[in-house]
Parts: sequence; structure tokens; C-alpha cells
Amino acid sequence: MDNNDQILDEFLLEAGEIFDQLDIDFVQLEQTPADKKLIGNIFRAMHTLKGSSGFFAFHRLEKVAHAGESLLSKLRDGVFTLNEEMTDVLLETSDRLRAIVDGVQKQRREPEGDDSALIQNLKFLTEGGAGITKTTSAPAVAPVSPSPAVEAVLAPTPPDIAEKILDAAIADLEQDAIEVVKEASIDAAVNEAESSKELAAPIKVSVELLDKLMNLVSEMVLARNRLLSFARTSGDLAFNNTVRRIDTVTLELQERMMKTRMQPISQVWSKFPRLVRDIAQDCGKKVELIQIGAETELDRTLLEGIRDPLVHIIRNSVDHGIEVPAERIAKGKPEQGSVKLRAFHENGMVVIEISDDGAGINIPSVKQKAIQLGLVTAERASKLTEREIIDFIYLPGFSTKAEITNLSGRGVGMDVVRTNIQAIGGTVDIATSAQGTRLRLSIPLTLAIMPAVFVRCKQYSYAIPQLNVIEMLRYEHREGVPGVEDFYGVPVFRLRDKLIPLVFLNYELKVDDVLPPVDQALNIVIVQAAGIRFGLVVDEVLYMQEVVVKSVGPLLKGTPVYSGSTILGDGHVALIFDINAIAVRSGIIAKLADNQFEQDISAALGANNDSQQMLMFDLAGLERMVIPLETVDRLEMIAATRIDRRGNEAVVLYGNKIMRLISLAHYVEGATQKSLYGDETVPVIVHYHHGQPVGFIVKKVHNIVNVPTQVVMVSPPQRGIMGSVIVNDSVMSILNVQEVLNMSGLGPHQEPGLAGDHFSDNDVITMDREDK
Amino acid sequence: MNRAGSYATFYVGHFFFGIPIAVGVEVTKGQEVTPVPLGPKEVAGFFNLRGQIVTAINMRTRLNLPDDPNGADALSIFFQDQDHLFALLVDRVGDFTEVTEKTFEETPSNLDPNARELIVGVHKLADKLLLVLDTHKIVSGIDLVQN
Repeated sequence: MDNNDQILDEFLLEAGEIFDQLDIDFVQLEQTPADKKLIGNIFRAMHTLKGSSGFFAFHRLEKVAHAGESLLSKLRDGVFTLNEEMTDVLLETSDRLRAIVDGVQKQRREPEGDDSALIQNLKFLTEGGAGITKTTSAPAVAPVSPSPAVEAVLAPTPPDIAEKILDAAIADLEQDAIEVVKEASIDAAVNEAESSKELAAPIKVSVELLDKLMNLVSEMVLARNRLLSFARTSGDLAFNNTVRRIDTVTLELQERMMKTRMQPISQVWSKFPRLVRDIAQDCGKKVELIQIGAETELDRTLLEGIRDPLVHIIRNSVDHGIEVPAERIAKGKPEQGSVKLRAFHENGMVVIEISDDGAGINIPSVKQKAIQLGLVTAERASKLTEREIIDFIYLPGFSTKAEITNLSGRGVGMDVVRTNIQAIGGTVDIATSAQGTRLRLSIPLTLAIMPAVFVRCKQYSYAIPQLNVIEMLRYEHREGVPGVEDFYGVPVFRLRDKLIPLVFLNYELKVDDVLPPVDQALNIVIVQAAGIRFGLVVDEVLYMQEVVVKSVGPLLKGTPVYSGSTILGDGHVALIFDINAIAVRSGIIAKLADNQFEQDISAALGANNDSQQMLMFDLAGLERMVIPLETVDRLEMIAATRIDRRGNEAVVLYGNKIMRLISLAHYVEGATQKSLYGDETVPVIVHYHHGQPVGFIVKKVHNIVNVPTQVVMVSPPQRGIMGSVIVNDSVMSILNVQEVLNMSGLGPHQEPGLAGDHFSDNDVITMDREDK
Repeated sequence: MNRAGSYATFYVGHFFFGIPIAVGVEVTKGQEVTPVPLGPKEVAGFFNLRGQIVTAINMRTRLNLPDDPNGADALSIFFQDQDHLFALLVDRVGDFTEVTEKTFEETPSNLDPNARELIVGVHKLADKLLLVLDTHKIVSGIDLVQN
């Protein structure tokens, strides 16, 4: 690349940024037409473009920018206030400039074209004219005749007296304005100089360089992992300290490096104000766009992935959702509709909500259309829930819009949205009512590094994206308890009285020809994919780790069960499963579609009123403890290294909250206390207390058991134990959750939780409830 | 493809093959390969070469030859294609050989059809025939959907 090319590339890059900013500024300007600072910004942007195009001898660009600049200077000087007509012409100017620059980018020279109509319009407005009918935006190669509309307006304008007076007034004003502008520009210059001193000039780094650095950091992480395993077996203190130092530096390096890939979502959103304005105008609606959380950051590659889906959704909202002004007034809604974009972090995901206050999805009409297209029989449709009906709109080619506009109605919207979002590991959720529709996209922060659960099949380890994992459990066969059962050819398993279909991984991967015998202990990872929940039977659940995702190359394109690979600490390669593909491959999705599965079968099992469900767990030195299931919110495995101390409490970061950890062994009589080691991972039972998570550290979590409601009271009372129950001839002790909370300083009379507290006291079980 | 030049040579069964070192060849041995259940049968698996994922292709399977009864310790020879690294698992690696245009001949027509599509031609060396492989076809000719 020679020097000139490089300068040109820099110009193109800069021009692109200028246009993005111009789009935002123009729409903003329409709402606050008197904003001098904004006009100043736009004026400066035009001016920069003009200057650069002069340097490259791009004459079209120069002329159009010049004409635009002239009008803007009048606006800036306060000679005119902006009206809608001017906005239209200025936006057209911005579009034209962009088209020319796009041409330059493709052809490396300025494209041919005629802009005289646009320039005349601009001049006409600059000279104080009004009442241009909207010109059709001339294509880049336009006929060489001035727009007839402009001629028509120009010709019959007689130089009458009124106009002369106006001219004189303008001349006067201009005199005054010049003075003001002089002062203002000096101020502005000083301000700019000051602000540039404060900010170190950002530099531009090529994406390839960043990717290369990212790769190097990933390798460094792997090298560090190997080093750590050496350090564990070495007694050399100096060596171990050095390794620890390398460990922390690498971690920080990795985090910082990840940050370079992150970009604010405003990068994508910046185009939307213009989009909404244009669509709204085309449909004759009034719509404002509200953006909240534009600074939320997302991986660069993911930003690309959400651009198209968001455009589709916004189009749908404005075109289908928001009603025309008359209809809105009739419904008692404000004349101006609103589309709200909101982005925020939640549980390690980025959530983007797009809500409008329009008419909502017309459920009967969707149902009607589905019947009409033969997707469902009328009889079946009447039984579908609202949610199932909404699901139809994700099908390709589905549109309830009677006529096809150039905006939407082609029925290619929502299926593209869902496919694109799923492709980047996200999910789509719709909520709708007559007050509006809200779409919620949940997207992982980054695809390059993700948490994964490692499992073993035969002698190899595989990774399952943690996103798909609901819980992990071990099932041991016992007499009298139904284990793996057959449900229309699908092996199923009862989990808390729900049937969970099972997929035997070894069998599915064809590394084993036969299914394991029914009485064998099973390690099951409950996963969720493609809308269903199923259990993946593996040989062993190993550990959880953040993995750096690498491509599997071109030869596995026909093997969709793997979504990528990663390099383990020992240098071996492990494959990462695509759980969706496994679900499809195993055929359970097809089988489930045939047999209604999702129904709650607890009724069929004859839920016994005389028993209740409890989770069984062990403490050190005290086995077979149980805790009522309704007080258990989740089960987690937490690495001791993640545990921090706050005062004399052990805490851990849990989602976006801080979870207090309580070592149950401290509070339960008979258990032996044991301190944690650095590399240990402990099972934690998460319980919500006044909306705040509290984690009980235990030794081991077993399964869920049905215990009789009849509690045998312990006498004398044992600390931390509410009583005992007898299950299958063995005695189990019930944990007294309330007492443990009291002893650990989380009493019932504490200030009711912090923000977001909507849990009632009912989730803390008390003695009284037990006795009934 | 330029027929003269340097070739990295190796043996698979009784065949003597060469690939041009211009494709960026490197030889290592004793790599532990992670197999790919359900993958194409020619794909022996993946391994890690200095942080990059390498797809290992079993040349015996690729050439429709029976598995080597005592070929547990396969060697690998690397090259890059479509921005991805590949390794060929072969029986034995030979020397780097320099050849000229003079010894080149088109592929003999009586060659096994399965091997013929991969072979550009032969160089008649003093003591044996050097079969020149097209590395791109080794990769692109693999049937991706086999299960």
C-alpha cells in the first residue's frame, strides 16, 4: 500500500465516523432546532469533509459539502431556525455525501454523478427560500437537469416588496451575527485546545493486530496453566512465588485484552435514530426513540451479529407495532409513539430490550394465519397457549401483514432475528399486550472465552457450554425407586417428579454400541437447548473452567455436534459440544413433538400429600442431612479461590450480587469443622433470604428425597437441627434453616432486604409450618 | 503447480509421496491426537501445535489403504490450507528432495482411482517413483457428511 492509499484509507475511515455522528446530530437537531452547539458540530463536520475532499480533488464531494455548509452557517448564525424542510434537504445532503464516499471506497476514485438539483435546493434554502416540494433523492448517476420542482418554485417567485424587506432584515442580522460568531469561535477554539490537553489522543490499532495479541494472550494463559501444575508439585518457595506473580499478571493481561474487544453498543445504535425517523415518516407516524444503556459493552464480533436483528425488530415495532396518530389518540395513548432500547448486564449476559407502546401482537390474527397456512388445525389451535401462538411468528415466511410494504410484511423478519441471535449463543423472548410489545434478547458478553463444564466420555474430555447447563446430578440405582424408564422409545428419568429425557453421550457419539445396564449409576448433566430440557449421560463430570474457543476448521462442517475446540492446560485439545445439535441429532426433539411431553406429570404420579421433598446432603462428620426443597434456590459449585472475606464473613460474587457464605458445619451440632484449601471446589446450597442470596457450604450434595411430614423431634434439641425423619429405614436430620440464619446474624427481624426485594418471609421455613 | 523444486517426502504403505515445501511444511512426531467421534473417518483428530488447532488426516484412510498393523507411532507432516493447519499422519518421513522438470511425468493411468485424484504426477528418481500430492485436494476431497 503506498502512501497516498494510506492517506485515502484514513480519510475514508474518518468520513465514516463523521457520517455516523451526523445522523445522530441531525435527528437530535430536529428536536432541539435552536441548539447552537449541535449546529456548530454539524457545521464543523461538513467543513472537515470539504477540506479533505479538496485535498484529494473530489470535486463533487467538495461542492455538495460546500453548499450544505453554507446553509448550516446561516443556521448557526441564527439567520434561520431549522425547519423540517431544511432537515430533509440536509439529511439528503448527508446521504449524498455518504454515497459519494462509498463510491470512493469501492472505486478508489470519485464516482460520476450529478448533484446540481441538490445543490440548487441548498442554495435556494440558503437564500431564504421556502416551500420546496420534496425532491426524489437523485441516484448517484442522475440526469443532468435541475429538479423540476425547484424550477417551478424558483420561476414564479416575484421579487416583491415583502421579500426585499426580508432581505434587508437578513443583511442587518448578518452584520450582528458576524460579531457574535467571531467571539464564539474564539471561545470554541480555546475550549477545544483545553479539552485536547486533558485527553490523551486515542490511537487507532488494526483489528488484525488485536486478534493476534488476543491469540498470544490465550497461549500465555495455557502456558500459565501448565506452569501452575508444576508449581503444585514443587516445594521451591521462590519458584512458587514467581509462578503466582505470573498467574496474577496473566489474569490481568487476559482481562485487559478482552476489554480491547469490547465496544459500546452505541456503535450499532447510532444508526437507529435516523432509521426510526425515516420509517416513521414513511408510514405517517410519529415515533420517538429512547436509548438507555448505550454505553453497555459487547464483544466486537457480537455487535456485528446483533445489528441486523435489531434493525428488523425496530422496523417491526415502528411499522407493525405503533399505531397511526389518529388511532393512538382514539385509544387514549399519546399521539407520539415511542420505541425504547435498553441494554444492561444481567448474570454475565448482555440483555437488550426493545419495547414499543404500540398495539402489540394480534394473537387471534396470528392464530388465524397459522390455521390458514396449515401449520396447525383449528381444533389444536384453540388449545394452544398465547406463548405457543406467538412462537409461530418465528417461522420463516410467516407474516400477518395483508400487504407487503417495502419496510416489512415479507415474513422474513422474526425467523432471521431468532436464527441470528441463536447463532451467537443468545435467546429471544417476546412479551406482548395491547399496551405494547417487548422483545428481550439475551446475548453472551463474548464468544472468545466462555465458561464450560468439562465431562469425560471414555478417556477423553469434552466441554459443554455452561450457558446450556442447568444442573448436574448423580443417580444411583436403588431398589424400589424407578430409575431410567421408557417413554415411547425415549429413555427418561424422573427429576423432582418431572420426566427428563436422557441422551447417552457415549451411545450418541457411537463410541459405545450398547446402552449401560439399567442398574448402573449415572452421571447426568441436565442441559437446555432448542427449547427443551434433557439429561446428557456422561462417564464423569470433571470440572468447570473458562475456555478459549478455537475453530475446528473446515473438515467438521458436516459434523454439527461440535461448536468449537479448546486447548486444555496439559496441551491436549478438547472438543466443545453444540448442545442444540446433539438434541436434534439424538432425535428427541422429533419424538417429543409427537408425544406431548412437557406436561407436568406430578399429578399422574399421585403426589403424596403425606410427604414432602427435601434435598439430601452431607456435612463433614455428619451424613444424611436434609433441607426442605422450597428453601433451596440453586446448587452451585464454588472454587475456594473465588471466596473473599468481608470483615469476618466469607462472601462470593454471585451474579451481580454478593452472596454471604455460611459454613454449615459451624452451626450444626456433630459436624466437624474443616477449613478450605486454595484449589478446592465446594458445593454450595443457595437460599434466598429477603431477596439476598445466602450460600450454605456443605461437603456433598446428594439427591432429592421424599420424606414423611411426620417429624421426630430430637431431645435434647441439637443445635442447627430441627428434627429427624425416617426414610427407608435410615434416619435423616432436617436442617433448621431459620436457626442457622439467626446464629449467623441473619435474623428474621433484620431490615427487610435491599433494593429489588420482592421475596416474602414465606421462603424461610419455620417450625410452625413443619408441625402442621 | 510448479513441478520442479523441493519436496518433503514420506511413505504411506509402499508408496513414496512428496508435497512441495512451498505450502509450508513442518514435521513433528509423537503428537497425541484427540479423536472426533462422528467426524469424517479420514479425520484422525485434533492436536495442538503451539496454540493452534491442527486437524490430523490419516493418510492410510484417505488413500483407502488398510491400517498399518504396527503403525502405532505415526508421524505428522504439516501444511496450511484455507487458513487452517492440517497434518498428515504417515508411516515414515523421508528426506527433503530437490527435483527438476526433467524427471516429471503425468499421472500413470493405471493408478488406483482413489489415489489418482490426489496425485499431480510422478518424478522418476534414480531408485524409485516420487508421487507428487496436491495438498489442497487431500483436504477438499474429504466427504464431510458421513454420519
